[in-house]
Amino acid sequence: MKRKFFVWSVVLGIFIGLISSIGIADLIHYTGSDKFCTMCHTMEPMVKSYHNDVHGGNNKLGVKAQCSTCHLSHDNTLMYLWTKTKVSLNDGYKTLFADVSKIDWHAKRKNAHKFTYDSGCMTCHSNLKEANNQVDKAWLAHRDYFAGHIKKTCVECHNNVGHKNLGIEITKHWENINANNK
Amino acid sequence: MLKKVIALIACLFSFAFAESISDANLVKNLKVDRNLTPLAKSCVECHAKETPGIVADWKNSRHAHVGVSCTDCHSHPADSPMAMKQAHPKDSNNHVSALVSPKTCEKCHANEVKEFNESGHARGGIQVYAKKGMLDLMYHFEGRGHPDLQISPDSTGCMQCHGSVIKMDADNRPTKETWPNYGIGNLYPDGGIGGCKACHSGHKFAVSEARKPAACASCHLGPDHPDIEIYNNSMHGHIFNSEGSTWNFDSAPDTWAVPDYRAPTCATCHMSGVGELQTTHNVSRRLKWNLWAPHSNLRTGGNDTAVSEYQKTGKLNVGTPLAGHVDGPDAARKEMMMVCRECHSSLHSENFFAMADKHVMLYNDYHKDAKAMLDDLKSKKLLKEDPWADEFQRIYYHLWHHEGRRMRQGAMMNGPDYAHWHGVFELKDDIRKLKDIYDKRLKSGTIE
Repeated sequence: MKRKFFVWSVVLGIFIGLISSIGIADLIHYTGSDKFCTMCHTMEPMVKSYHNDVHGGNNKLGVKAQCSTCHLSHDNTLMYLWTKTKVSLNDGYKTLFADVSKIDWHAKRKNAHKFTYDSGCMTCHSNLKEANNQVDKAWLAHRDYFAGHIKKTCVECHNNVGHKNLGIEITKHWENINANNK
Repeated sequence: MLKKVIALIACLFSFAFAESISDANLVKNLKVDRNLTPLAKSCVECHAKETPGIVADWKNSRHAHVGVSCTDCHSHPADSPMAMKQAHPKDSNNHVSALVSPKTCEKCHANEVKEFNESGHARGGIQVYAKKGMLDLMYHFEGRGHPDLQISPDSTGCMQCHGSVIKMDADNRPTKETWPNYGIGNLYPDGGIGGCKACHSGHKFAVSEARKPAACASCHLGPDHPDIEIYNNSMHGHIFNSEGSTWNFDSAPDTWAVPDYRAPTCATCHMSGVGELQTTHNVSRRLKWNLWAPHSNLRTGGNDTAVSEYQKTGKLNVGTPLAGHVDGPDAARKEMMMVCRECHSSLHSENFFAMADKHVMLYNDYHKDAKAMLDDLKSKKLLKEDPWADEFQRIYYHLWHHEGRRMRQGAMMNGPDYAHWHGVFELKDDIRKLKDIYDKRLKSGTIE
């Protein structure tokens, strides 16, 4: 009797685990989208500049990279979840308990390489490495990067990628808010 | 009457016809389709008429071959500190700048820019603005503190080679006080430091050009560092000047070696990947001594720090005056001798450098005495406040900055006329003049 109960509970456990893991995956996926990330107004200039950018859907096909595509590590699932936890805790804490209008958003852009991950870029641009002389220009420009001769991250060269004219959007947004608060 | 009118009209038509034919021959329309974007194509096609010289340079460049076009270097996001306020072409949503900083070049040439940043060239501009003495010289002594004209010794003089801190006007166009120039160490509004076009003139950027002595000669000349004159005085320069026009300056980096050339140019010794050596854009790397300073010390400073310091703190700074090889002066000399080994026996180059080193040390011996007298007079308050009105300080300056540099650089690059007649021979006179003034001031206790 005891043995039967054990077997059934394991089977049921696996079943519940599978079902709920689908939900968790969906949840993780959803919480990495621009819709979720911009639920608070802090991210307004970021998402506005993102929607104006090729990476935010402003392209012929309407293809988009999600916020999480660039801003979470895609090295492996563990790293992905680890960076996601870190970012969520930080952003949640700052939004609730800190004065986000006091943050120097322009200065933060200079550290883009610390919160943008090459492994994210490479999930989409996976063919860049294999590019051949059909796209000379792109291949030549990235040859040293893939050969390991330079230790720069993607955004250290492509320093506006993903957010078109973010500097202008940030200035507009926070100037408006600060003016209204006065 | 009618006949005359018809004849006149016929004349006019034939002139007009001839004019239109000759126009058709003169104006050449460029049509390009090299996988360029429509915008890039429109730049080339319009600028072929507006600025044909620039497009002509580009179309003869390697950049044009691989499809790197105007927009790749000159287009900037609207929020870039260098982007012109108005879109160009009009209503295009495209923002451009006449400025192209090493931050753009390094997108494709990252190694070259990294090595450059580690060299003394990188601090060429910002060190000038970080030194009070240099600012005094430019604005106060040379510019006479003139309210409007004091900037000219800077913008028309020093910074043309050293590089300036480029500032933008209200429309985000570079200001006349700070641009145009071909300075090696420009500081661009986007934070990029350097001047690739100082050696690789835009818009062709030919490697063959930078490998010729002329690339260096526009700055490394004249009374205080006559490097091109020294080169011309040397056997290397003699061979280059007599047959350099027949050499091959076009090989790929790291592969340029004898018999592409029969004697080295500036680039060969200081930069090229000769034999086992790798190409470097760090021109300080193969140098053992600091030959420009008042006293020649061994280059023990490793990589220059001016750029990394600026990027960290945002401050103008003097960098690393003793920048050289990251493994020290002996490693630097060893690399330089590897260049020599392409053509010379090791005995030949060892003997040469042993004697050149002695000439540097002999200079130091002169300078040691001159500096001791200067320090003594200073401590006894026997120096004028305006160094340029003080005979002792003027001679001291020329001793290290003119004669002394010629003596040392002449020795290291085998220019005997500069090592001797323009160098040590004049130092011998200088030290006697300094001694006379020194004795007189000590005896009388006053400045003459």
